[in-house]
Amino acid sequence: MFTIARLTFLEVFRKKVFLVTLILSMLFLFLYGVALDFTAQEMVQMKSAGGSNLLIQQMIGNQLLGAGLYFSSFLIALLALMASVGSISSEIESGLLHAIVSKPIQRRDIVLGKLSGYGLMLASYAIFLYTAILLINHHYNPGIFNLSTAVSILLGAVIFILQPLVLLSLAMVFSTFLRTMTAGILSIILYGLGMVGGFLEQIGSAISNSTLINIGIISSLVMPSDALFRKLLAEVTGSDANPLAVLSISMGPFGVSAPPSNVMLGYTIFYIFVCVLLTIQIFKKKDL
Amino acid sequence: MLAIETHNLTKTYQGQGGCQGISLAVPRATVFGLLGPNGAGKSTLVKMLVGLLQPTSGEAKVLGKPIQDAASRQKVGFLPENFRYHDWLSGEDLLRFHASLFGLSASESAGRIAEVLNMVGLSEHRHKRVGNYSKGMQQRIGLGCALLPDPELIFLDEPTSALDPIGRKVVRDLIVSLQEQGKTVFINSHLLSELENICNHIAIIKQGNLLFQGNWRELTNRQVQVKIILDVLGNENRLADAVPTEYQVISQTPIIKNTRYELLISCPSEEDIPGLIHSLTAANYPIFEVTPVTDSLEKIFLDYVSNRGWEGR
Repeated sequence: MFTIARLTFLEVFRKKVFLVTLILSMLFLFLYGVALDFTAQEMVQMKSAGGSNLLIQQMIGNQLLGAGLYFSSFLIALLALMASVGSISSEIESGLLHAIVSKPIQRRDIVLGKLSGYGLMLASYAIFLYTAILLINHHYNPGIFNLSTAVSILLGAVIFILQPLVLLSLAMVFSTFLRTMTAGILSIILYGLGMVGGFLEQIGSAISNSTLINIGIISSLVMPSDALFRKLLAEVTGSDANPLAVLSISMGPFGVSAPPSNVMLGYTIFYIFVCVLLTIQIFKKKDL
Repeated sequence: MLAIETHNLTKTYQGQGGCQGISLAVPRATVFGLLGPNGAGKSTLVKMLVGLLQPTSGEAKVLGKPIQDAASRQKVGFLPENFRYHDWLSGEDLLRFHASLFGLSASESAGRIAEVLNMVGLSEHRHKRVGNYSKGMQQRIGLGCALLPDPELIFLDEPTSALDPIGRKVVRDLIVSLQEQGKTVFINSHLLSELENICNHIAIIKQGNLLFQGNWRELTNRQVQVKIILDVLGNENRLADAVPTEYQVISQTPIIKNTRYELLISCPSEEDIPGLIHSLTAANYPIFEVTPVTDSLEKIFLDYVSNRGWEGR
């Protein structure tokens, strides 16, 4: 398993999608920094003109933080899907797996090795992006994390890492029994479903429409990535622990009017576990 | 103990194709050839034996262990037909990766990799990326991967398909050397002329069914013929008297009229050929050439796959 994990980890760095994601991430972080710089200047001007309101400042700060985390989540989701969706299917199609599966190793170890390799790479990249976003925000708006605790920031990192891991585990399931292209399309559709479902749930909460809320909950159960993002934002801004802060993050395109409970985190871990088990079971019986 | 043992091994796809009821016994320390036309089920059989396909029914053992047990492949090498390797790795790194899959320690693999690179003639290219190898070199590095565990049994699926004549000779010599070391080599190949020189035991399958297995040279020994070129000393009619009754003259063709003739004579066995020569020389016929006539592997193969079989010939 360690041999496969090591090779998978190294192989990702050679994929074009990694290079593209790295360039896009750097570009995004630069533009994001520029945007925050301008906003900070505007805030200073507003404050000196006496028009500053603490709640509005906090709201704008949270929106910018939300935007940063949202787009970085999107980038890492892109990397997770593109890098892993062909992890098994493309190697079956090319015949690369023939020389590996015929070795005295369990098929289970091949799946776990690949998952570990991709997972470690995605987790490392996620920590880098998460830290970068938080540091940029802290630099321009030092008060943004006043309501957060070290534990909530750390839990935020874990949730941020869970997002690509959910997509990775699902893409691996599809990769064992579908062709690469089909697996990729299906994974992206499900990711989109999670996003749309998340929006609907937010709107449903805002207008107290239980049908929209239920649609959102069901879509989160099918694809928990968006629910994880909202949980992440609630943790990082400290609104989960401080109900007063909910107001500052409940509005705007990156707002969270109804943060998911901790049960969602448990469900996500269960979701990943089931996906891994499914991948192992399907791959064990797969004819190559 | 047999190297490979299968009982009614079957693999079908939606009830069709694949292999049906294959019962095979491959002795150890042999070069065993698996023959069959395209689509006969040869690759299906090999893939089942190396754990790539799950049998629909039946049983199989490799080196005494059931094929479902990954440990059965501990001392098994496999060169796939459509070989494909991580082309971004160097030849040496690729071998190191595969050695690790075989469970070799770092010190074990270091020595073995050097040996294997030497065996497949790629020592000088060890640091070159596999993606920059020619197709023949890629096939040789694949063979190297298969040789890493010092296998007791090695499956070669079309092992010379990408090789030039020199590369083919290297592989042929390697196969012979492996057999001399007591290894079993299981070859799936269309190149019957190559198999003829290195294989004694073969299996022929057609449409998923096993038609024959065993030592193909024994088939050729059932009817021994010998071609003799001699001088009839101006009287070809006397020839019949010189040939003992247990031999049968099948044909008598003049090469040079009234002097040199080519005789095709059927013998009871290969051991009886010297007796025939002795009788002819005793009758003072000058003999210029004696050639035992045996069926080629290709002829036997064609007879089987065209539904005639040996008995029908």
